[in-house]
Amino acid sequence: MLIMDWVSSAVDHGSTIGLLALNALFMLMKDYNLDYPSFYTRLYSFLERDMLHLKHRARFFRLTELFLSSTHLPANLVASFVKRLSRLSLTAPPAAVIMLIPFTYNMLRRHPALMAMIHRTDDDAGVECDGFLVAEPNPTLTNALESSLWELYSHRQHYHASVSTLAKIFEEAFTRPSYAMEDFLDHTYSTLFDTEVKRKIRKAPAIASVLEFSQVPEGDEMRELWTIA
Amino acid sequence: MAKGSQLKQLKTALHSAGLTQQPQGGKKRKRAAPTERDKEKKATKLKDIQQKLNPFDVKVTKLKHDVGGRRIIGTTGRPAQSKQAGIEQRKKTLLKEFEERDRSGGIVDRRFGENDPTMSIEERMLERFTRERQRASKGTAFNLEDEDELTHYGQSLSKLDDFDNVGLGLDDEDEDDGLLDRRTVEKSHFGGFGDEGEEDGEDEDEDEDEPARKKSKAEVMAEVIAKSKQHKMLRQTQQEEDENLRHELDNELDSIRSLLFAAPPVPGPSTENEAPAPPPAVPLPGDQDKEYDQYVRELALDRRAKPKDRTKTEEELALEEKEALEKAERRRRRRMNGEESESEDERKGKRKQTRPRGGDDLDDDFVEEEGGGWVGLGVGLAEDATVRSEDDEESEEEGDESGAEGSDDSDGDESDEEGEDGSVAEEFESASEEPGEESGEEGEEETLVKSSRKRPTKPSVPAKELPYTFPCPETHEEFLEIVEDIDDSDVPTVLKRIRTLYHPSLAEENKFKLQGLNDILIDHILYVTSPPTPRFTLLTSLVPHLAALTKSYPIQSAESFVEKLSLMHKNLKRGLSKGALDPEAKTWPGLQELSLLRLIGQIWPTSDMNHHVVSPARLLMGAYLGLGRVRSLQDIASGLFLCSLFLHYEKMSKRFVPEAVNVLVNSTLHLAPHPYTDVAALPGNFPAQDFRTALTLPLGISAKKAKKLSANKPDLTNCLCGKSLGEQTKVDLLGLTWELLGRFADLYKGLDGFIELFTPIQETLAAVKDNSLPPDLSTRLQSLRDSLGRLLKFATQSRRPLRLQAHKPIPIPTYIPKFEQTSSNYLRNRDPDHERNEAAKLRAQIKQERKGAIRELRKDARFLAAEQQKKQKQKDRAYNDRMKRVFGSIESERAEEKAMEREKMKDKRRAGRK
Repeated sequence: MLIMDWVSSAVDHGSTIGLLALNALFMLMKDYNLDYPSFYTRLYSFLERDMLHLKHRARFFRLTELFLSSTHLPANLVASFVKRLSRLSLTAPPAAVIMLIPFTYNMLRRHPALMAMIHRTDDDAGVECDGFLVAEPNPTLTNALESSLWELYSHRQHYHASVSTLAKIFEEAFTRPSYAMEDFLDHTYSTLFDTEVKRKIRKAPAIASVLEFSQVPEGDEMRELWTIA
Repeated sequence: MAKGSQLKQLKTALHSAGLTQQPQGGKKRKRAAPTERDKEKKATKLKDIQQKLNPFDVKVTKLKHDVGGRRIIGTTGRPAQSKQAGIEQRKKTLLKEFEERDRSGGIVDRRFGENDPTMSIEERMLERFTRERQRASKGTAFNLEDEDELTHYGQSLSKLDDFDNVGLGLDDEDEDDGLLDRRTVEKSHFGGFGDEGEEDGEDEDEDEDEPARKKSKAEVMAEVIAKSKQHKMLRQTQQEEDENLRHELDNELDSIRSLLFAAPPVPGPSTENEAPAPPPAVPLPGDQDKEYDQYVRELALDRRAKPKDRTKTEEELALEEKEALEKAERRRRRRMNGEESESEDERKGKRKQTRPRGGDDLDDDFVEEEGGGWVGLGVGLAEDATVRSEDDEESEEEGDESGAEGSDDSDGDESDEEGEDGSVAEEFESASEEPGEESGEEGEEETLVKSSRKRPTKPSVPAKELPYTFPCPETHEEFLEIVEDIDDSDVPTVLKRIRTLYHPSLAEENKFKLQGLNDILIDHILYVTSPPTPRFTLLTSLVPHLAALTKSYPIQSAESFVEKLSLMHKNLKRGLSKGALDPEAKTWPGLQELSLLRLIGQIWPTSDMNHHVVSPARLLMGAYLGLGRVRSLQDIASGLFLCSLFLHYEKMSKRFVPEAVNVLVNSTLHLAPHPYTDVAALPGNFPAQDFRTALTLPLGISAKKAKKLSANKPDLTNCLCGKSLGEQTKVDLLGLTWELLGRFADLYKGLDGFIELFTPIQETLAAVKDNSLPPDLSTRLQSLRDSLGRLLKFATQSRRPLRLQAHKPIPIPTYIPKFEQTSSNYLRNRDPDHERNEAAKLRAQIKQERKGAIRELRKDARFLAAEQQKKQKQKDRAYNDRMKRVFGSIESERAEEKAMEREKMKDKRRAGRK
């Protein structure tokens, strides 16, 4: 109880410090019955541009998964989180996207009302099919349910194979009860790289077939853009 | 059976049959003459009763366990009667056959329905009539009146007019005496006999066959002789010509021989064995034979030309090429979509779950799915996550406890404190996990391929004669020794010679040597492109050789590429552990690294979804872009080069690289003048950690200095190695940034999230103050804005809500157990296999039928034997009777005779006494 004020101010500070303080706050709320007003609004405000690039994002997602696990939360609110994260994923490193996709899947699974975000049958097109308000700080008022998760789905074409395969789970039938988030949380560039490097080469890898050895393969694109002396 | 004694039963039976009335006196008169029919009736009735009452006629099989309601065949039977019936039947059929067995002829009545009593006469007539009509309509094959034509040698005879083209030649050939010659036969006699091909020789036979040709035999013989003479002539002229040609060749042999030996040394053992100098052109006549023998021997020992496939025509070649290209494209497409290649599909076909998900799936096969779906993650994580999560948990707990005090994991906190305003260093835990590894520049040396050797100064003597043979280098050092004195332009030649000399077909160990050469080439390429004076022309000429070697040894080459990549990755980790903002730390790739990545893009197919070399390369590039922090113009240049590499990599597959887009926006912000002063003011969500830091502030283009500059293509070497980079470079780089942005926008216009991705960029670009830019740049910016705006407009218009779950609903899995169709009857062991069951049934039936047939045959034989015996007996009896009769008559005759003799004797005695 003594550190309550300090923790809440730390959470309000946002970013890394807030992120780390979040855990403490949660403990306080859970064990000491702390009443913390507009908790979800604050949580929502964490989702800003650097969120997915932080070192501690895994920790944040563990907590967020927990916070949003209740099925009694309004669908509006969860939808805002999901939409916001998917917006952020457009600029995120592959490791973060790997984390986000199962997270979103679990959310969709738990709140079937959110399925409208990946499958909507009305025929409106153009601007009116996206009702999401980016600037709205209150997660219950963002109209996220009237939008779709185009951003997350564009990772279907991500350059990393694992990400693109993962992104395809949204178009498949939702038969899996949920993904175990722990498997996806602690990725970084180096773990992904190590995975790729460690893969044993059994079959001869394919070679650029257009390569004619009589003619020098030009890095034509590169030559257009750079002077390579 | 009825009750009561036999007598009683007889009485009741007779009574019920109405046979019991005692003939009464009064009525006897009336019924005095019972008709024949009545008698017959009575007799049958009596017989019936008699049969019914005879208990010995009935055979009863006693049932042991009688179950009611069943009718079992064979419980009761009348063996005597059935036997009698059998005999009667045989008498009708078998006996008749037997009796007529030695007879032939006779009339069989085959009239339809004659023996069928169910048909009335009218029906019979009708049926016979239809049969007859049918038979008549069937047999029209030789009906001349019908439209079926007669043919001879496939030609219609009706079209072959007898008097067409005959020319009535008979008049001219008087000497033939009215006999037909071949021409006439061909023309008028149905086209002859089709033996135009086999001529003269057989003519004689024909002539013999046909008496009509006898006369022309002499002619024919003359023809034959003429022909054979002609053939002979032809043969002779041909032979002469050949002879002439041979003479000519013999004369020219010397010059040809000199040509042969003057040719440059051809690779191969045969060349080495051959005499080094050509023999004198005009040898002495005495030696000639010997030398000739020598040549013959040499030629015999020489490798022979092998028969080859037919030389293909141009069309075939073009078609083949086209097919090969199409096939390669199909394969590339499959790989791009992450599918297995075709051959592998076949192999894995069984293992893989090919069946679509059905309603009966119980969701218990998800383990397999997990393995198959995203191998890269599932497998990698299993190990990684366990190891790492342990580490993490430990550090996390520490962090939790000490987090409040603000001292976190050792690697992150320095930068945390540096970036007070919330900009936080990237995650990179790796360096602290590997304390044993030396950080710093040592990694560089590994990549640098031991550049201890001083770069050779340009040889003053311009390329004398290049030697033809080289030792195959085993290390890069050795290779450097070889090429030390050789001009750059000759290095490819040297390589070509090495590759020829050590062609794998020449010796076994050459394969490994060439694999080593592959590594050396990679090393050399890195060496060549090392910073002070990179030689890109040499690089360009080396690439084909490396590509060829890679094609021959893809696995080894891929391994060495991956090795280099992991070295680079290690270097990156080291650089990051020093602190991403440290100007000394090497977080951006240098010239060497960039060249290697470029090389990968040239040699390996970058559109593949999963590739052993390309995937790590892409990830590494992503890591460079995502983790590197901008400190100088060189960093920006390096980042931009990486972006262009990504553009090149994903040209075909159009994959999404968020990092590249981020770097491009950020470099716009670094370089171009804009009104934003705070990170929070920036549009969109892209990370902007280096926004207006102390290091990046001076990178902006100053309006005054750059006013007159125009944007060109930036020079890679200069950008990365130049010490002082002026405004010109900045302008160049900014121009390139926008060029790249435009191209990426074009590449990603099909992306679902294109609007979200590029709207912030458009806003940023709109905010750039183009009045303080050089005119060249501002026009470029304007066009970029226009194109972006257009693309975004189209994207907004064509936007539709996602409809990803449009597939048909999955049926609810059914949990009804599957029932076995077979019964569990232990008495009758039914085979669950339907076919086998049927077969067994059939076998049993055959057995039964066979038994029945045997029994029948035995009965037949017995019947026949009985018949024969009966006949024999009859015959014997007849014979006996006859014999008796004969004997009787003879005896009586004899008796008479004797009586006569006795009379005579009596008479004689009487006469003698007298």
